Amino acid sequence: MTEPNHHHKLKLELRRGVIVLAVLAELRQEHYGYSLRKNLLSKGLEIDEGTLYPLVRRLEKQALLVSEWRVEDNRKKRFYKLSPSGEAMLASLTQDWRQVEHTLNNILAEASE
Amino acid sequence: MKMINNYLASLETYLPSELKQEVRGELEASIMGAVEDEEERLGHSLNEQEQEAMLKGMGHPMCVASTYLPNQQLISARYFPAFKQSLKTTLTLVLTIQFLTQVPSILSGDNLIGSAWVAIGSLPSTGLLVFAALTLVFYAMQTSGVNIEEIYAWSPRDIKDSGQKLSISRVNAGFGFAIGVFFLAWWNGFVPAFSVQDDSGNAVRLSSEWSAVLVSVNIVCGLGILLNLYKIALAGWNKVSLAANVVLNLASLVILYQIGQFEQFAVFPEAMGGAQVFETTVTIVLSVIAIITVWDTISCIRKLATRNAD
Repeated sequence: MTEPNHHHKLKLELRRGVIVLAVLAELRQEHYGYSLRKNLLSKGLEIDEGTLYPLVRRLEKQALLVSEWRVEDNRKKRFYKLSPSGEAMLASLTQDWRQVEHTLNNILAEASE
Repeated sequence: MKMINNYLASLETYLPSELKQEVRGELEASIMGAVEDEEERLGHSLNEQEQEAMLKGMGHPMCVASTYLPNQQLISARYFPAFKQSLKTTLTLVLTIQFLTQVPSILSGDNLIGSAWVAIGSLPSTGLLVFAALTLVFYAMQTSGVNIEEIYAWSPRDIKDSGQKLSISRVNAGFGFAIGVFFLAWWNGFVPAFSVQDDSGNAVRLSSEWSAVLVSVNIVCGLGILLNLYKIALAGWNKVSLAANVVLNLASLVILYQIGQFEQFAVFPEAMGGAQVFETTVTIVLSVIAIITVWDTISCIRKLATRNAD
């Protein structure tokens, strides 16, 4: 495997860990599938449909999201937003993320000394 | 947007009925949103090539549909180690037993090599059946959520001292066991031996000198079979099995020397030729066996010396 391929694969693994948190955070506001994907992309996080849509369905099954079908612009769309337990999970994961970020910054600072 | 509709219709075919409408609706809204944005950016309606590029970017309908489905693995990572080990053990046992049970029919067939090939040729299909059955069993366990933690339950205290054991393959030891059983069965006449006869029906027979080693060969081979069983159970050498192997090898060398002193290995009917060729061939075979036995003995002694030094 070439080095760019290695880097790409490891980068994907790194991103995989943060996708759930990013999606939960973004769904503090209501979105349907495409607008969610578009918003995340505009903020620098690209997720393909094959990853995003099954993910939001899974999060809904876990009762972290709620959804409803509505007609908008003459088209039926499924809108997702955080449920109360989703909001609690987001708060919890955000705290976990801050700890991980702090830990990693320490490790990286030591490594660069 | 015929291409998009065809894409969505194709995707639906890969989904179970309860998901078809929902997933199609979601993806349709998403694709049409992307189409509108792209048309706004380009300033015109998407042509066929542009639609094709967009749909290709989404992926094959079968792959997209599969992301909505559970259990994308026949055997998940959690169950795989147990599955792999079960498969190895089961295949070794079943194929060894199948081959052994076919040995009598091989030896009693008119064409020895042909019968052997047929027997060996049946092994892959048995192996495939075993593989399929075991895969189904583990798939059913996984799907029904059977807890396999008992298999993986362990404690560091329970792990045997590997420093006292040199690992060997159970398959190799199993093969040695099978060969030993086959040879002993043939040696004692439990399996039909092929015979060579002249036109009058007089067969080549072993000389009477072989009776001198009948008992000793039985003892050494029998002990060799037991040693292979011990190696299968242990999956390795230890000092005891190494020492036993050295003793058996030395006993084998004595027997080989004894056989080498025979005046005649076989009695040929007067009219039949080939006696000299046969005698030479047996001498060569005995020499090769002796060389292998000496090499194996030296190898075991070296391993023993290494074990003692540790």
